[in-house]
Amino acid sequence: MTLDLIIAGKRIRLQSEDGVNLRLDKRFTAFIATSGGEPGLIIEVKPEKAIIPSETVKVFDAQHVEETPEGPEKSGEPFWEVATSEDMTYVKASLKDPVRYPLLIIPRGKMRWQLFTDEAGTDTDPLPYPIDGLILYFLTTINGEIMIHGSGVKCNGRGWVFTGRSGSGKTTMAGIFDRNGDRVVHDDRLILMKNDGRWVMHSTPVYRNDEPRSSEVDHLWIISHGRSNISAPLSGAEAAGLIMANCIQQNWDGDATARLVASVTDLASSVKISSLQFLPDNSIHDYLMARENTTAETVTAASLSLLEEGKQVTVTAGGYSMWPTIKPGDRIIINPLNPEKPLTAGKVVALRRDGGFVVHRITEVRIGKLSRFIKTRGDAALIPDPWSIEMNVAGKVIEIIRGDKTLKIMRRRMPYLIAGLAVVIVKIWQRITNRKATSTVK
Amino acid sequence: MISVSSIPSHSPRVVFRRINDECLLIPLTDNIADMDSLYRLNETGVFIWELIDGKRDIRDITARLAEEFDVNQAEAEKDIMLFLEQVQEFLHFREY
Repeated sequence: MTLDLIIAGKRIRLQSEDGVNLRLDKRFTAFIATSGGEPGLIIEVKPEKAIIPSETVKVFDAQHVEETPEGPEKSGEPFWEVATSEDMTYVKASLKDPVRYPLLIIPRGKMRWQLFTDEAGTDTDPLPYPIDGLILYFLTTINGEIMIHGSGVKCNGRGWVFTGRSGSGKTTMAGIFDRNGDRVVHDDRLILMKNDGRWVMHSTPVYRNDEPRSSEVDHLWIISHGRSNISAPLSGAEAAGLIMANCIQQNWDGDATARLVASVTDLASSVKISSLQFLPDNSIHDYLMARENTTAETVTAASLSLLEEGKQVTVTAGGYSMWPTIKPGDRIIINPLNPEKPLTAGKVVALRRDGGFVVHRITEVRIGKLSRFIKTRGDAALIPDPWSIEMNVAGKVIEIIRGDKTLKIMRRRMPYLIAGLAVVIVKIWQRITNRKATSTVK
Repeated sequence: MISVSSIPSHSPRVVFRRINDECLLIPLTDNIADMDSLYRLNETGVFIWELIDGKRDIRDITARLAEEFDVNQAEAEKDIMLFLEQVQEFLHFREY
């Protein structure tokens, strides 16, 4: 028997010998392919029992964790384990009710795997929990894709991912968007991957009525419950660390871990990342709708022409790219360029872009034959802007007005901080549980 | 016991990822129960981390830190010791 599943755009073919029926749980029903195609992965399913060969090394161990009202509690019983030999990875699960020990065998670099289900007979369930999640995990690590504890919605054409520690409100958030008629991609577990330069989220089969859904990702929010709705942008290692903490990961394989953190770093530099404290009611929906509809990072051409005439202009900041030097709502005072004073690294300038301008900081100046070239970057941006010629600079920022305070533009300098600040520990929120939820938002 | 003549080197059981001026350190482990934290180093931490090469002793690293930053030798040494203690699970030390 042959059965194709399409999960996160990947065609996984389950194949058994004639006379062995593959019995899939209802959570996979909507993921079964209805048309033909070439599989990315073939899994040969055999109902026999197989054991991990003795000449292997055990590299990872996971025990049962029970979800109790007091939080997760380790029972100490084996749940699944990983062993490796030079060219094979073996993954064994310990299932109760009835007791059986399915074994997944992954030859290194090959897309034909074997699965011994340890369920003698002519009818076998090839994807019991946690084997299904483990297959997806090992499949996503090959290309450094991200499996994350998170909910995802598509609202007003924008894709938002909500991630956070257990109990932070991911499902609650999905429920709020669902009640507002927005599309919920999934409310528990997503696969994030880059397609043609854009990050995309995909649903995964977790619950009975799940179906394949996906959306591009515009903003990822690290959520927690709060006393009001409030968000702040995150960037760099802080953003990447907080995302990483919510990824499904097995950190025994340095190469897989390196691929994951590289992808997370890319995600954190391609998609907006913010922390978000929220109230579990409809006000968060309104808050996010309002917040995401402000696009004042570029301002009108009117200010540009004033600068060209040698006049000082004041504009209101809308974006986060210069956080924390410039915050949304700050008023930015921009002077025309003084030809007597060449631009230097550290200065914040208004750079012409798309009919308006963006305000970024100069990180490097190079002198070419015909022009000086400048490299710029938003203080909060991971990736610098492309080089531009000096003529593209419309003006220099001289002051920031925040509320009734006037702030001077500070040169960004390397701080000397070690004690207490050098090491920030980010907790990994692993949730390996044997909870099997049956309800979801749809 | 770590002293200024100890020579630190990186453990192979950690994944280092530089992100702008900062970095993440992710410990490798063989048990899901131990997988509970990852670490973020600030610019100064990364500066020290990248000086650790299995050849320089702590005295050398201290001197380089004091050269680069506005800090005196004694203060730098105290801070380096504190830093090394915080990330010691990712380091090996040998005496020259």
